[in-house]
Amino acid sequence: MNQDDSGTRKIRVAAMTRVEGEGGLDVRVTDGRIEHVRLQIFEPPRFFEAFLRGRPLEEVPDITARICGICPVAYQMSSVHALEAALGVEISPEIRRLRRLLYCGEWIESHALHVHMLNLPDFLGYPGALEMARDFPEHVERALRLKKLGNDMLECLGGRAIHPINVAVGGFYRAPRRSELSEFIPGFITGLQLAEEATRFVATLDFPDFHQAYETVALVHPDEYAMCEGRIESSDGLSIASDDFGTHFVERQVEHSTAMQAVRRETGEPYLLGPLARINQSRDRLSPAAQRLADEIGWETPCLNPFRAIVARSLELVHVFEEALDILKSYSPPQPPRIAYGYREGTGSSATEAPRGLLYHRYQVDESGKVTQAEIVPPTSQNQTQIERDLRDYLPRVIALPDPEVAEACEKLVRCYDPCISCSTHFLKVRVGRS
Amino acid sequence: MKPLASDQGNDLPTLVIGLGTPHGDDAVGLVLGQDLATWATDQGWTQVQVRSLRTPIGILDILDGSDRFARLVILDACVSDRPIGHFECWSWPHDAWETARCTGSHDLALPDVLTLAERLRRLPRSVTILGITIAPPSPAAESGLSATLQAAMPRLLRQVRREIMHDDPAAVAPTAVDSTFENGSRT
Repeated sequence: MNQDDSGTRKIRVAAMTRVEGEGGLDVRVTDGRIEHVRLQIFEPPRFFEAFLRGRPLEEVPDITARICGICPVAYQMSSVHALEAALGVEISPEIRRLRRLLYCGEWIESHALHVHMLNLPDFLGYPGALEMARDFPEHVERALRLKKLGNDMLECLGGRAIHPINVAVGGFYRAPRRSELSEFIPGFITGLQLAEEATRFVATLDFPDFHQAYETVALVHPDEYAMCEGRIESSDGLSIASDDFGTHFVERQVEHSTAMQAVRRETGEPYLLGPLARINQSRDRLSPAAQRLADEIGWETPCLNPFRAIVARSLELVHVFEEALDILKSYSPPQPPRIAYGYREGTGSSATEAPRGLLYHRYQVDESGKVTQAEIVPPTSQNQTQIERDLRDYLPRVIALPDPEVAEACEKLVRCYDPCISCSTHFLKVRVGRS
Repeated sequence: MKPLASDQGNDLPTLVIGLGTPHGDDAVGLVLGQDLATWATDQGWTQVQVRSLRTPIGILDILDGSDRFARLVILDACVSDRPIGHFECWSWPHDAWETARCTGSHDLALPDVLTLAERLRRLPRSVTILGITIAPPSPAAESGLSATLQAAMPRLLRQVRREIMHDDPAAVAPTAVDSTFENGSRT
């Protein structure tokens, strides 16, 4: 136990594993009382909003895609919708469906990776997927098959699997031929079956009995499981257009992190984004197969146990495969693939659902098509404050354990969020101090 | 069809994967792979299949467990204390790779990918990693190889061919002389 003469116990995770980016966790306990829990994000700030100023608006989807290698489509979707709002561009229903298909591909590759390779080892008692593969190769094989399906879709629609280059303000630079997308149908039928298999398995895992009084926040659409459009709604009754995001949510700087942390402006309280929030608020808009499976596994809504996010994420995998199949089977190339537009001075904002939660973008453009102001609020920076709250509430259950076990328990909880630290600095190592 | 040294009595081809990005000397694995593919086509070496990958994790997709390859050869840039252009050959597994690990979840490092492929029974029975020393990569690198590596390419290609098809005189016939680096290292 790392305890100093004053009796302060310090538990540190210097660099968390199985999260994207670089961050640590610092916990300090005095006389059994938790003094502080700090997510220390030391990945350097990346200044994307500043890079964007003065750039032609056409460059924004490709530049913002560089914020993340796992969820570049999310950045592209939020940016193009915000810019289209600024320019008054109305996209066609066909372009809208193709964008949803692209987003399905990203959710597949991101969720498959996190469920099987990053989160599942925690529940099966392995330090990582490499070690888990020796005893449970079937889960790793499933992960690879699912992730490849998602990556292949991104490559087809986006030009390449990482940092796609085919998303444009107004639509796509090139729409795939029907035959190109029809080829995905057999694989996606298998993918749907694999996602159902994964969901049935993760639903049987042992979850800590830990429930939080979350205010969940997600995009909600009246007719569909929200991805690109809808109102920002919370479990506490908030219902706003994305234009009003800044009125109700605020980012703040904290000394121990290079990432901004977001809270509710009215209360200063944290809130929860991501799969749990989405399913809690839109379960009845999941695809038929996902709804049937949620019933079959006895999924209770609302679910306020962060450890069960792995089940929510798996249910979403089922949803996106089924939705993707629906789009694939009825696809006809949009004509034109890109809606023409003219420049005008204006401001536009958009929130879309990245795999990790709501991603907000706001842009101001001038009459020559240049970006004059940009604001990007990623899901991980919004979830950080809630992660610290969860850790503070969870620590009393594990604080009697030796320091390494406390650190491991904390890491497991944080990983349930599927944090993307690189996005947020546009986040882990744990330190626990006891006195 | 000419048999490969490692494949005599085995009809399965050798899979050669060029790893790298287009940025500066990090592209050396990609360029060597392309040059090898061109040479193999010209020579009628149909038992060599060359693929290019930006990141190692794609190896798992190619090695899908269907036992399609007798041997895996990986061409990649590496940073070492040897001169730029130094040629190194490792047989997998090798202790030297124990410390090479990736830090993020977006990708797996080559040793992790090979370990995972092994545990998933996807690895061919022979795995060779051919590393070419480059200067530490810089985000500011321009596209294309440095003059130093460009000058070394004929010798590097010949060394790659020697490792893959070392019993065939045509494969190892020198096309350039660079006595400083000709023998490289084998560990």
